[in-house]
Amino acid sequence: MKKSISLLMVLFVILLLVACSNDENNDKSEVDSTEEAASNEELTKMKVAYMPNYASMNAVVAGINTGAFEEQGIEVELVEFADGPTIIAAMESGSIDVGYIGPGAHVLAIQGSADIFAFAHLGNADEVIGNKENGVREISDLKGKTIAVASGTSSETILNMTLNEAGLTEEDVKLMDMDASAIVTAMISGSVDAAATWSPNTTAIKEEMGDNAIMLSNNVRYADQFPSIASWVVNPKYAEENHDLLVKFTKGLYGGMDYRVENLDEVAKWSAEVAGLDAESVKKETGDGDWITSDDLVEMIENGDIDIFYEVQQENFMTEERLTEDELVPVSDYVLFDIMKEAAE
Amino acid sequence: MFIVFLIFLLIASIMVLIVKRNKETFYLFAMCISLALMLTGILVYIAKKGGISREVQNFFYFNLDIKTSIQYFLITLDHLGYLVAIGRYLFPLFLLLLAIHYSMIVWIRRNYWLKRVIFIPPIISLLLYYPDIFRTITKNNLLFQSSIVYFSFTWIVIYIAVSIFLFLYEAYSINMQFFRRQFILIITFIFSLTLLYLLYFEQDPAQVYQFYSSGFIWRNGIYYLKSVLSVPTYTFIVLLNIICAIVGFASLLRYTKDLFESSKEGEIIQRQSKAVTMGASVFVHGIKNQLLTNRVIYKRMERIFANESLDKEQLKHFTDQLAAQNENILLRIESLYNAVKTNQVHLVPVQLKTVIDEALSYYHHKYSNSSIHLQIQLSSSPTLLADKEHLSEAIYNLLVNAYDAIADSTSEKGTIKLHVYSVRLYHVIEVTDSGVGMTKEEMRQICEPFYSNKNSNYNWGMGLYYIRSIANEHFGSLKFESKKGEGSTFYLLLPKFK
Repeated sequence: MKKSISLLMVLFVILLLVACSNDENNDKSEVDSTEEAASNEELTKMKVAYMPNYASMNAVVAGINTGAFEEQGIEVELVEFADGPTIIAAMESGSIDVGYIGPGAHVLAIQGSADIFAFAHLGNADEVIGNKENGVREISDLKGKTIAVASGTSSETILNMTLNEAGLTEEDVKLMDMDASAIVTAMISGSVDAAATWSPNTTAIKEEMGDNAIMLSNNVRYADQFPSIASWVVNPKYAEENHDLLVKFTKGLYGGMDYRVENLDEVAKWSAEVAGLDAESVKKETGDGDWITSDDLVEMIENGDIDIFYEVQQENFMTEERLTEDELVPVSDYVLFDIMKEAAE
Repeated sequence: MFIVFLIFLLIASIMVLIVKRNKETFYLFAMCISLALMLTGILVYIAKKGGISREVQNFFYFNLDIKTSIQYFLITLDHLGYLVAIGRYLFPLFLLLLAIHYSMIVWIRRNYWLKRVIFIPPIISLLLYYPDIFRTITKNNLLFQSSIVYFSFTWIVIYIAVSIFLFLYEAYSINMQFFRRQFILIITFIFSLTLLYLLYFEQDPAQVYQFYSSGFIWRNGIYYLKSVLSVPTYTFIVLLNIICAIVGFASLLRYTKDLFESSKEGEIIQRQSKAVTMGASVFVHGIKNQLLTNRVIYKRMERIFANESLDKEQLKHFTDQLAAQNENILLRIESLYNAVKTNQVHLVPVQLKTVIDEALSYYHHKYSNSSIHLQIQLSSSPTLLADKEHLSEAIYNLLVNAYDAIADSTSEKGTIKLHVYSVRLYHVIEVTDSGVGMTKEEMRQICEPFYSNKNSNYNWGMGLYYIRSIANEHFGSLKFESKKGEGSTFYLLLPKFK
């Protein structure tokens, strides 16, 4: 008897849960559908992938807060990611519409996994940092040391150039492949002797380690050899099907780009709010890139600078052996200049 | 929420393992651990990679602080990926081992090689997925890489399908309602764990450490990060799992106790020695009572002799009483002796029917004019390995117990059902009575030697202890279920003889 009562109880609870979850689902779908109905008339929702740093967020957040996207009939939903390759993978699986990537992930765009529909900026966010206590004071000290790196990202790119400068290769050091966040922990805890990563992780490391952290190299050091390009990317299939929407999104993005150039700190505050970060530390990142306006961009497209940046980038990937010679493609294959131009009109 | 569930799963499975250390709790524990490893790996991975909505994030990690500390947890991608791989490849293995363990299909149960061979695919996968090995052997060999991925995927699907089939078949085949109910509760729990496993098993774990490698084929994209289900659905699945886990673990404890082993050996010995001490005093007390009664009779007889005239009739009455008492004591000593000497059984092939017939003849001899109806149903009369004397004595004892239970109840009219049938590995002799039944407390104690709820001069509490010893000597077991006021059913399970 007791058992049948407890069985009944379990069944009841399960039923209740089903009922509840159904209710919630229903409620939600009702809300969703009403929202959709509203947005069908006015706004198209786009899921935009970002990384929690100023360089990645400033243009899109400025675009949202100034209403530049809304003007284009777009409602932006931001989704946070840790790195570029994951964003590209997310776009392949369809859970994300467009996203921002740093220099390292461009290799995937060249290989055809993504199309670049807007140039973002030349960045100065990547650094190789040494731990003085573990005997790393200059680049040549890296030989035989353990280095944390997020392979496939710009972290690997800057590390390769740094090693190259000292005449070293990946074989001369011990690489620990980690995600961007674990690199910070590894570096602070002293588990690795050096780390290659990007802002704001670099700031976090330097703040925690104080004098023990020493910057060995950054993007500026190799600016002439390797342009540290950041771009806005989209899945090629999505780009084909949503040309007009992409143009509108780019227009909104231009609005954000133009606004941020004049209002770096205000945009830093907005970005901090969106990502749940400390506003002061985000403000320190306002020097992480060479911020341009949409007019600058159009000029750079017209005088061929952008084309050259991407070409040099391909060559660098080849030198790094991340691309084979067969994989080199014309820049126009994966950079959608037409969208950038159309949006500027 | 999810994190709490994982912790709960771990603690619960460890506790069950501590309480019951046997094969099935070990397998279930291993399943829980594998699942927890896989899900923990995925949770850490998701925390590090991002790409989930705030809502899902709160569901997974409770709040941003926990998420952030997990995100910054120091682990290389190789280790993280392999952690997921370990969970992914061990779960189906232990699921299948458990299914085989529960299965009564003779071919599967007694197949020595089968139990060895099923270890091979998981071991191969675990070796191949070791990050360094995986990278070395699949470098520039996409065909080989996808073969490995499909190989692992295929055997996992087969293992799970076969396990589910075995569990369902077993549930369908158990004909004792009592066991079936508990078994269904257990497999519900196992299925709910499997459901959770199936949510994420599809994603290849090599993706975690091969993510950035341009040579890696992305199957399913970033499946881990895609929240496949809505938060309410996730919540529902997790709550379902928690409920099923509680009910399942509880049933498992009972089921293992009832069907597979009586209890922990040490505990039995301890309880028995206590019972023996108590029983010995009860026994001595009983003998003393009877001897005291005898003394009264002797005194009365002496008084008769002291009289001038010898009252022969009176004397005859007293000697009869003495003879009866003597028989009584002898009987009890005999039954005690029987119970103690049961380690000497001689198992020979006998017809179960002849054993039953003998037990029935004892029974009818004792209760020749009883109003209690005995209903006999012999579905088959197999041959089995048994000691005819002891086994018939045991069955007779079961019938006597049933009789007593009915006699104790208020209604004088009752029915005893003797039902003999076969359940795959066992022959079952089932004795059901419509008597007084037992409380849970009584059910715990009845098999202890010298335990008796009748507290009379005619019962020495050795009956069920004796029956169980006989059952054990026959490599079988004694099970029972009972409800106070409704009656009891005893199952004497004896292994089939081939």
